[in-house]
Amino acid sequence: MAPKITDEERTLSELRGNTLLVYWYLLKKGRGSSGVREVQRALGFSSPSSACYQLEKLRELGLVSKNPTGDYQVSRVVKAGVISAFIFIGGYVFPKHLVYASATSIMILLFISLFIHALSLVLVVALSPGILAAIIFWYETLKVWRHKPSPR
Amino acid sequence: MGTTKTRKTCLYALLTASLLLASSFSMFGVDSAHSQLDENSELLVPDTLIRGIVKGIHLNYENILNKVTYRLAALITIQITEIIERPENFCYGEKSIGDGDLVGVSYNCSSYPECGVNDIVEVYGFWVAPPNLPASRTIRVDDAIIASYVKTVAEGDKSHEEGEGNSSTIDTQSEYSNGSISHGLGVNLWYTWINASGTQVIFFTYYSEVYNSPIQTFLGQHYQTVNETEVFIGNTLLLMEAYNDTNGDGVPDADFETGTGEIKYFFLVNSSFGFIPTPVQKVMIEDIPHYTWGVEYDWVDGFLLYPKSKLISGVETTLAARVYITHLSFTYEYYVQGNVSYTKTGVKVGKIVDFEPYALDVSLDGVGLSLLYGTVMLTTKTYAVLVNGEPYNSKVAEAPTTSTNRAEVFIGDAKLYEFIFEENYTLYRDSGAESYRSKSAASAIENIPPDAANYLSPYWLVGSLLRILSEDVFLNMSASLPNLDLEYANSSFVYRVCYPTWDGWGLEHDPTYVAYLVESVAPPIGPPIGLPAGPSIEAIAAVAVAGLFALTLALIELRKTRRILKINPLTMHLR
Repeated sequence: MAPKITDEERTLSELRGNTLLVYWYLLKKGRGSSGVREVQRALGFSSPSSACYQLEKLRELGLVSKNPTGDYQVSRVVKAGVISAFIFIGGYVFPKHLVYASATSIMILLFISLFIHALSLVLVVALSPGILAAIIFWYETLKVWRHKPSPR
Repeated sequence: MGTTKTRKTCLYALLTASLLLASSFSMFGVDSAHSQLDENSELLVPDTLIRGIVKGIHLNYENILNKVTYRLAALITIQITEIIERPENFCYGEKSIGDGDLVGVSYNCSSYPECGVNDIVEVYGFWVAPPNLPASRTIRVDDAIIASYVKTVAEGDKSHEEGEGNSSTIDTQSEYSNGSISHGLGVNLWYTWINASGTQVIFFTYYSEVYNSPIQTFLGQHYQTVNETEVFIGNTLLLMEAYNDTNGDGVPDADFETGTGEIKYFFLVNSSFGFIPTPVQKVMIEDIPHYTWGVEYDWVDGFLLYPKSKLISGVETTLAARVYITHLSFTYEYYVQGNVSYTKTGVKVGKIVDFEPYALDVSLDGVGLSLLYGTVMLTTKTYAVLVNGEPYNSKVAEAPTTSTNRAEVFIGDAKLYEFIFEENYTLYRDSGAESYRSKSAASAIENIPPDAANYLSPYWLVGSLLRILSEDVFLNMSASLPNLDLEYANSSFVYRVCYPTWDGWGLEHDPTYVAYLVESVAPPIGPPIGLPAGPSIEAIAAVAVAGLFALTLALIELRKTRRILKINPLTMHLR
């Protein structure tokens, strides 16, 4: 007996390739809406119908909605897959690990600058987990950034 | 200029030699007058009576060994105007002494000579002409010579004695100033005054233009904290000690009962041939005013004494050696950063020279140097001294020595003052400079050499000097000032700054004192470079815990990201 597929799983299975690229583009737009031609130009589709097809597919999945002027905008954000590794704010997108990496790095540098005159082995040992965490976060940030969806 | 200085040095050396000779005779119970008394008792009667003009007075404080007090040894130079009574041998070599000639009067009395330069005086004394030291021939005026005296007949012009910078008070309204205050015959008080950012710093030192200046300095700081608590904290160098660090803890551990303690000798600094003050200067460093000043004593003479008297050549004595130190200097840097003031003191001790041991086994090889400081603390509320986080009082401390690198003064939970020690010091050998770690320790009063205590009597009363300041500086505690003195036995915090490697060479060290102008329970923000103040254990633990939390999160995220990135976002196929 085949396992029962939920709506969410079905959505995720459909959200791939050019469909994902279009959804990613609309996510970056935030609350703004985009027309068919805009999507076609931005993502380099060969024709408006390709863009329209992807947008309609997203609409059927319930991820975008179409307003009276015919433009599309995100109606539901799917926090899954590679999308979950990013944060979208005001048209900008960046890996969420960047927040962790920046926070740990600033804390460590601040502490070191305050007590640079009293650096000791004990202090370095105490700081080492934080430093290691910062290194991992920066590595993750770069890795995720290089894997963000983008047109080929 | 150099020739004048050389001549002056030679003169001082000659005078010191003669005074030393006289004091040595006294020390062993033999006085030059008495020695001749044995030969002929009639020599005790003064045989010389002259009148003349005082051309110079060279005075010196000398500690009378094994006694509590100082003796005033003076050499007064007089130009003879009339010889009323003269002995037969009143001559220098072959030349008979007459009117217009200069003659020396050695004055070894317990009271100050009343005469001054240019006074016309009458001298009645005994002409001493040691055959081997013709240059030291003087008319001796001494308590031991019956009816001898130096009497002022007419006072001379004193206008030149008033220095241009001398004043009777300190201008407390000024931001910073230097000056001299006359403090008795021949002795002046050189001061540095700083009044900045709501705190006042006063530095006093004695000096004299006719005496060899005594070595005595005092640094005090006055300020108000919140809740109108008034604070005055000061310190002074009490004693220098030479010690054998046999147990390797870096600090002198005393045991005067059994005589097996580590303190080998202590110095009794006597006086200095040269006193060179450096006036206060204001320098802006990163928009913060720094005030710097200092004093230097050149060619310091003193005694090296055993902590407890010993029998040497049949004579019970504490005297181990007569020594000279090339210089002793104290420099200060004071500034206020935020609500915290910093006083960085620099101590330079010159190398030991002209070491004259009085016993064969006296040596400074392998010994360390310890500087013993006493403190004066006055607050309008009850204070407590904390050493290593525990309440400490030198007067009742059970342990003779408590090693520490800082001491704090608290009122309740508020830290008012902090002594920070244990920086490196530089030792200057002939072969070059070397750096060593200094040590410091809080000391019990009982850990001070018992014989040294004789010389640490409240000879110098700070209270009377501080009253020179106007009372509006000391708003609430001016009534306490008359009782303020430097008697170490009244000090609740006596401490030693120790230099385990010394061997009699010159050294340089910079301890730091920190005052808190407002109540504070946290370390000062942004301590100056060089301060050893670091994060607390709690802060280090918090950093470690936060780091571990971040590392755990990073590892979880690492795993999660690896799972996400296994699927190609464009194809949604496994890579």
